Amino acid sequence: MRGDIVLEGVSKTYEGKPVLRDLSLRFEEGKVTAIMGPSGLGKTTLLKILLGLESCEGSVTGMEGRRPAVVFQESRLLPWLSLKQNLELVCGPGKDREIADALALMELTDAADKKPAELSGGMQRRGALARAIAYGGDILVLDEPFTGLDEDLKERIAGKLSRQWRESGQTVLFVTHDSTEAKAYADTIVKLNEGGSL
Amino acid sequence: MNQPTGEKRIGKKLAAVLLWLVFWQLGSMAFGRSFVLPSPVFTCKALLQLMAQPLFWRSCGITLLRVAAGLALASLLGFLGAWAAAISSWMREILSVPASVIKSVPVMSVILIALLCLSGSIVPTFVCFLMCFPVMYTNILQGFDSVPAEYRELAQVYRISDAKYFGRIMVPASMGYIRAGLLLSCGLAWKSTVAAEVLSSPRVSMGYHLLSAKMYLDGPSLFAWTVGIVLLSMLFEKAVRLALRRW
Ligand SMILES: Nc1ncnc2c1ncn2[C@@H]1O[C@H](COP(=O)(O)OP(=O)(O)O)[C@@H](O)[C@H]1O
Ligand SMILES: [Mg+2]
Repeated sequence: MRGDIVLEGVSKTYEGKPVLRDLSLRFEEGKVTAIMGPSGLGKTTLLKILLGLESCEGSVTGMEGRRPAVVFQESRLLPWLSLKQNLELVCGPGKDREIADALALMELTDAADKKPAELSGGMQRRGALARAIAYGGDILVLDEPFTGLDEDLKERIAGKLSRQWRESGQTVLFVTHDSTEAKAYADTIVKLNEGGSL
Repeated sequence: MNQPTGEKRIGKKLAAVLLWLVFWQLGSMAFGRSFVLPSPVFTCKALLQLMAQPLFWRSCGITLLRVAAGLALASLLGFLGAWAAAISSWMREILSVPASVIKSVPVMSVILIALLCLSGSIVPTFVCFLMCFPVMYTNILQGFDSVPAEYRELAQVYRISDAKYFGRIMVPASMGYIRAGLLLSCGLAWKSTVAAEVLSSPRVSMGYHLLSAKMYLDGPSLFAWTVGIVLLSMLFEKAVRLALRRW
């Protein structure tokens, strides 16, 4: 079993503008954590720091050697590939089963051969989720994964997902600005405030 | 925007071509002497006569091959060069020198220098390659440089290998630039190949016939060859466009 992910005294400044200030946090292994806070506070920045895509001051431990599956705030599906090919690109060969399952879970089986431009915004969002799920990393890092889905679908899909996560003890970090969403699907909620956490 | 589509557009295009043919006819009538500015009818007759000769088709074929070989080589090396420049800042600096120098060297200098150093029949292909290379290189590199950082991050977090990133993300993401480079190069390839043929005069080439028509003051034939080159070059570009559509 891996350890928790621990941030100590993490600060980040963009061009002289502080975004995160002396942030200390612990994300528990095997738990679903929601990161909450209004827009522009540095939630995406925090995820990027965890993923090693942004540098920071302070220390981050517990991410070394992990295989994260990521949903970025934008869907980032490659427009020249079909949805299924997008999943295959990150999964590599021999993952047909996982890909089919992930597409079915996200109710996208019929859209597998469509290009992203032929999909609605919500379908693209689910496509990005399907890609992360099919990849099957040991930590799921999701930046506002359910934005753009209509209520019914969001409840159905997020419900299915959170049940799976609980059963399998998957470590999940997801960003949201919706407190109902956070309460419904997370074990722990971390609220980001101006330059710190609660 | 003023871009009609379909039948209407073809109709307009035909009318425009017809209009310019009328201008051409009037111009040739004003000159009066057919070897200075032969009329379209005259030129067309001369072209038909040429087309009856096997030599015409052989010349077209050989020149076409030279253009295709020069352009293919320029595309290949432009692509490899851009790849190297995208990976290494040293390669970028090293390649930027010839790429920008060649761009401003007159075609004629290139041809004359090539004639000094190379044997006659490969000069046109070489010149074509040299003129198209900077265009291909610059366009492809610009394409590689414009790949969004979002894709780089995606590849990084999902541990996509460098080779796969290049082939499945970088190249397809740059396709618009590669296509633009190729289409720009098509016209350039024809002009530079034929110019080099005129000066190096290989026996079977469109450029050679252009030159001999001029020497014999055979205006209609000169025009006929020119029209042949223009038509072939347009067809070639169409074919490249069509081939690129599959991407
Ligand atoms: N690459 C960047 N360069 C400069 N400023 C940035 C950059 N990325 C984010 N920021 C700024 O950092 C702040 C936090 O952004 P972000 O992490 O995206 O917030 P959130 O995800 O909570 O909405 C914002 O004010 C944003 O403008
Ligand atoms: Mg954000």
